[in-house]
Amino acid sequence: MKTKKTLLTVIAVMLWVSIFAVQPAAAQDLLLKNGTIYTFDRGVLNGYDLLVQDGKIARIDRNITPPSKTKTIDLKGKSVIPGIIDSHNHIGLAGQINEYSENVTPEVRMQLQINPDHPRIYYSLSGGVTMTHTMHGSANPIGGENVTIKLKWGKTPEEMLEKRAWRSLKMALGENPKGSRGKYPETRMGVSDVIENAYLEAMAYREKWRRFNKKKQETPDAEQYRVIPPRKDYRLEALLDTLDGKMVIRCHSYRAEETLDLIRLAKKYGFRVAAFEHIHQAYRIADELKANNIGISIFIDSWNYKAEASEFSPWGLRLLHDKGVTIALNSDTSEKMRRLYIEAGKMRRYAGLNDLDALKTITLNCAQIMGMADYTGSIEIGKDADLAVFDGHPLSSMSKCTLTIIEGEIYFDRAKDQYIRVK
Amino acid sequence: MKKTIILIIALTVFCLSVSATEHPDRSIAIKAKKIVTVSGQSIENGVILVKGSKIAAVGNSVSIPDGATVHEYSDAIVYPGLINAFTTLGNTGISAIRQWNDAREVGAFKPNLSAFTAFYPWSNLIPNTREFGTLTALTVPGGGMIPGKAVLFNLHGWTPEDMFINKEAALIIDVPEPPIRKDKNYKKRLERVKKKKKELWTFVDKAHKYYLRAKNGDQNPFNPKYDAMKDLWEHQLPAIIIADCADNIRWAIKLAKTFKLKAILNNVYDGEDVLQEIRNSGYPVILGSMYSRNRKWEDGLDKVFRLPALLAAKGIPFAFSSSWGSSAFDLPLNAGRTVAYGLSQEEAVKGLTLYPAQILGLTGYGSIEPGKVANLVIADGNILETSTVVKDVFVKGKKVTGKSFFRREYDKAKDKISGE
Repeated sequence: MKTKKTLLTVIAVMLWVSIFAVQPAAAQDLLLKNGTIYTFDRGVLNGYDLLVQDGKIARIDRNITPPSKTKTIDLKGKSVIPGIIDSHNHIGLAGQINEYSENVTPEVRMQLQINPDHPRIYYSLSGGVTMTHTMHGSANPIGGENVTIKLKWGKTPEEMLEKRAWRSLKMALGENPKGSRGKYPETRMGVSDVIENAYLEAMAYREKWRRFNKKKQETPDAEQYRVIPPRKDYRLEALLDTLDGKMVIRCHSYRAEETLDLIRLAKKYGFRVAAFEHIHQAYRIADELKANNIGISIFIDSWNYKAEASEFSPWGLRLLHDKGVTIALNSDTSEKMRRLYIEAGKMRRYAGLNDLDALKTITLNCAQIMGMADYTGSIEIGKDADLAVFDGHPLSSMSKCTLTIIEGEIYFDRAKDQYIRVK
Repeated sequence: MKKTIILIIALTVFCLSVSATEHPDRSIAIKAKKIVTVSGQSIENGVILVKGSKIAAVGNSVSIPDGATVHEYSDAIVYPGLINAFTTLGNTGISAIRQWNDAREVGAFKPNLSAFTAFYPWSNLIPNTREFGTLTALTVPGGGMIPGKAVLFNLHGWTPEDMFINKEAALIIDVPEPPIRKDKNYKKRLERVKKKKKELWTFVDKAHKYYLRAKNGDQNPFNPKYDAMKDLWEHQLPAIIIADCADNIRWAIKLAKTFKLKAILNNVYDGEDVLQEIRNSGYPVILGSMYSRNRKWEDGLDKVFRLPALLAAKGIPFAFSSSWGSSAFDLPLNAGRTVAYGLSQEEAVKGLTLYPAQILGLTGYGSIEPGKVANLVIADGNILETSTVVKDVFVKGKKVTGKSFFRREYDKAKDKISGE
């Protein structure tokens, strides 16, 4: 009797659990038929099919006959855009985003706390987002190493990790790192000094190791035991990676002058800034940004939430675009991430961009500042099949995403969304 | 003699007739590709005739008087000025800076406080917001359970008096929300909320009794807070009741019915669960921002922005709002988002114009009809669309010429001008 009861309980529990179980997306070849495909090299293609094989975009053509073992989805004219990329966010993490116990912490890495089950990953998928650059917070002048992840909700952290992206280190200027914690720095002068000092230490460390290696070479084998290596310092080694071209800098800044100061430091010490984050006053220094080939990862028009964000003009985006600065739009929150397409749509009114150029600000431009432009960010043969399907114009506030595909697997299907909600 | 008199009369008549024609006609005629009247059918290639601060005529064949200033917008769509039904515009600035806060006050019951006393007409946020089509707004106080009274104003003018439509347009009541997260403090927090709600009920009850005693001519020891509540019954001052969970929405309806309040429900996050009850109550709804998350996984990711379509289907009047002053300019897109989730474009535009006007008692606003206030937005496209630019706005019949902070910053940066 007891075993029967236990057996029934086990079966009941298994049935109950199965309601919650979201089947992991199956790796399958896909044929998206009859879509309005937004390509950057061939323009907007009406009534075209897109074939996905082995997780890559294989063919874009009219009337493709589905090969065997290919799942066919009739889009009935819906828009297909490259999967949206959020180049600045903090989602999908299991804990704190700031190692604010100290000012310089480049040794910490966000990839160690990826939380693949976080519901906000799912909400982002519902907005057509396929990849994010999940970052360390801005409490430190030199923060930690960021991580690029594909939003493969439910997979393991290793599977979500995007290894092809550039390694990037978070830096922050302005109010956040000088936030009154009663310790140094309290001013922008101090913030600049902390960064400069860290590089001076890193270079001194490199010199120590250079001398050690030289001495080791010059010492006969029998005497090798006398040559003691310097203490290994992961912190300073992370900084040296930024000088050796192994890691780029992504720097949070707001004001124009602190940005110019950081550019000065970058030139002085030899680290490369891939993009400035937020940088509300970018419109004042479009020339300098372009001259140094630095992009920007910004909100389109969120502003005035703190003093350094109180001087801003969304119309200034036109100046930046006209000068050729790479503009990537970001959300910094999961709420905005799922409406990034609405934000990108506004590029048309603020900067006078056409649809495709506006679309680039949430796709290709983001991939470029993350080092992923060869693999994703546009619908081209051979690239990852990271795609988002919209039921109307993909930049309209009145459209919504109905399908999100990452490397050929469907991770969000609006029709099935209702099914997995549990009351 | 006769000749002189005739001459004088002729001269007088001549002078009178000359002065009559020389009197400048204060009419403005606005010609546009499309006029969205909201109250009726849209008019293609129409004309709006404005006299003083009011709309005199709208149509295809409106005769334009001599001397009228004509504005031609051959590629534009004219909308009635948008109305933001619940914001802190003018009473807040940079949100992180405490000194900029004049909306959220300390204390539980403050019906004697009014947002208009702290209203800052020279806030750079006002021209910024106006530049995107919002021409009228209700600025509300916050903090506590009865934060105070809200001010209704037009987004154009020099002094506060120039801008105000109604200094005390509504009383705000904020029903305390029960905790959502079931952690170890849940029971304690729930008990505290229950206690606060009782206090809120008692306060309204006592204020009502105070009013009744005063009406009967009884000597009331003067109580400024209860006194400030009298308008609810003396003049049917609307009470905007902020309620989110289903229980609180029901509680708010019960409070309003018990004390015969002219209630307007606000936010109603769980409105979907109590749709019929809201319908039965007859109370309209002012929605919160559509750029909001669902609070629980079970609510579904579109919880907030699928509500307006449900309200519209049930025939419950609703208005959009964007509470934070710095992002209030994005109101039309905030509303536009709901079109993806079942609301029609016509209803979305109504939720930005006619419905808030009706809900807030703004009889002269919300549509383009003869007799209404000439608050007009000239847009180069669909006002709900992300690509649309507003070319011009008219507030109370006057074309607004001042540049917004956003525009001036662009001008300065474009030409690298130091200074203004």
